[in-house]
Amino acid sequence: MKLTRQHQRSARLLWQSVSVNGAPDANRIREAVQTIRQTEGRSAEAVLRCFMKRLEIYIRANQVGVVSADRLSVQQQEQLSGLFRGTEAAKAGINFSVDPSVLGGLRIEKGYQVTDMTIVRQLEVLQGKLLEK
Amino acid sequence: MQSIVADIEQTLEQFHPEAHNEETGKVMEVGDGVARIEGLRKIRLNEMIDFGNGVTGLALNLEENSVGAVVLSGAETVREGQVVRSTGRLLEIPCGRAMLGRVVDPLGRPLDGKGPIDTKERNPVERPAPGIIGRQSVSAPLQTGILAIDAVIPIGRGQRELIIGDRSTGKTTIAVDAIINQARLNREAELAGDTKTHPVYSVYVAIGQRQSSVAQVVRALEERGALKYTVIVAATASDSAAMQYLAPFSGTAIGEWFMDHGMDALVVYDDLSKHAVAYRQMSLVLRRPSGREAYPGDIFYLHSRLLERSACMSKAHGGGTLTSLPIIETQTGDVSAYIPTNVISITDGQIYLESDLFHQGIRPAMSIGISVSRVGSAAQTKAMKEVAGKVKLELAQYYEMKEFAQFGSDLDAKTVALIEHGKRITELFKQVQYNPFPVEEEVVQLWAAQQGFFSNTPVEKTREVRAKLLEFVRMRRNDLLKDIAQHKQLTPEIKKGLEEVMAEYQSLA
Repeated sequence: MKLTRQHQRSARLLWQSVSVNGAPDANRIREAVQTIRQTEGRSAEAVLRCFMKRLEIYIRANQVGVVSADRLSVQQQEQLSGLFRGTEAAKAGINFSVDPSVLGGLRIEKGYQVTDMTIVRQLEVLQGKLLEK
Repeated sequence: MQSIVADIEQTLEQFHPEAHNEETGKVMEVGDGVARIEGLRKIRLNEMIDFGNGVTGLALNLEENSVGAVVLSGAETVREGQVVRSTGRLLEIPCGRAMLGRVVDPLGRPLDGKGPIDTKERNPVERPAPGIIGRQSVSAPLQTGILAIDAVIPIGRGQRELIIGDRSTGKTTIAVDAIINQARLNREAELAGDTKTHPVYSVYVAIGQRQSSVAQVVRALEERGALKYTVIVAATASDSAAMQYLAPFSGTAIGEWFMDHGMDALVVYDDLSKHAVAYRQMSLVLRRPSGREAYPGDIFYLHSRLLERSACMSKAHGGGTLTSLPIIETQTGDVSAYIPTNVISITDGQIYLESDLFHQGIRPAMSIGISVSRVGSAAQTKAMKEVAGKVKLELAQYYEMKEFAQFGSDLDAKTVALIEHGKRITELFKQVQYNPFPVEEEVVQLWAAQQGFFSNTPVEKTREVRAKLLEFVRMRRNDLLKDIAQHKQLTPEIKKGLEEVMAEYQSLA
């Protein structure tokens, strides 16, 4: 099915109508989706597809992941979770993962915003500085 | 070796590990040298994107949920789902004197195998054109060494003069001749220890050319000692459309360094038709709306913002100049096509080359009637103005009369004289490639023509006699040539000297 600009515009309007303070409200989303599903036709389906895409992007942009070289203890995980208390990320839960290639330190990813404190990144920066010289 | 160790130790001492806040994105799709990236919410237009492993991209389309970026090199290594980083830096290119004599790609990476370029200077590839206040009118001539151009369509430093014509009409030759002449003037000034002369450094930008053509230009410049005053930026036909799109902007950035430092630079864009085609290809794969001939809507702005960066700066702003010679290739002489008309309207004049003239042996095959220079005459020397003032009119009359004379044989003496004079001027304007004339020799031959020196010479022998005459003047009265070059005008003494030397030549011939 071809998603046109009109479908995307409608999805944007729908997104605005279900958002409260910039964040989508779950109840409003359910209501809106129910209403649209009652409307028959391919156009409604296309608008919902566009809306779903927006929602996926929003979820990805607010997901928090913590990458470490070794498994973090429960206490360490709780400490880190505390940093995100009260945010959208806390609702979805924080994803802790292990990647030995980072060598040490932590990489915290909130959507596409990354705070990198890993040893591998420090070495990359150092390599760049040496190559510049 | 020790210095390298010391450098490493110093870097390690100064290095303090810290948390890096970065904005990343994920490649959603990649193809045709273009990547669509999700994330990178705060990226700026024309910001560089780090794809990892030394692959860089350029953010060109900033959309609501994604970023369209062109991958500058190594597009085949980019994978779907790959994480990319914004760099916070706009695209920059190395600049400075160290670039002279080098052949580089549009990112400033050497292509000539002469090792790394030792410069710390960098200029942004995209930069706004100099403002109105900093500019002044074109006032100094840029001698191309091509008699027909210097006499009839003079180019000033800071001017934008389009070279337009069909394929194989000698467009590149004119541009290369101009570069060779700048190098000759620079070399002569260096040898004479002349510090007053402002050297002109050249940048030749090859866009979508065959690699063999670029190699030929490099060889021609090298053989004539012009390469050491020239930078060559090459994005050949085998390079991606993104690299071809960037090449003229990179060349301009290199030229701007000389202008910013109060020097004079000449940039040749060979050619902007291929540049427009590369930009069209890039825009289509970026899914930008297309307009006439499938070119994107901002194709005019693409070339106007490029050529507006050429300028003649006022003394208060350094006094540097950047002259442009853009080249446009027409199809079967159609100057009214989309891209040619765009560039004609942007530039300060055009040199129009005709296939017919080229095949008649008139080289450079410049059509005097259509060619024009809107600002260059202000920069012409007094001497050249005096001898070349009437040439354009005389040639226009000659071409008109020549057509008319084909229909009848009974012509009055005045018309016959006009036609004969026109024939000889046309012969004088013929010039061998890569053999530019010094301006004083141009003045001498035009002065001789105006005085009727060639009237009794058979038309086919005109060039031969010219060569002999110039050789004679160089041998007998080199002081006259020096005086013309120094005073830049024909004083009564110089005229008297010229009359004497012509009479002497005629008596000996």
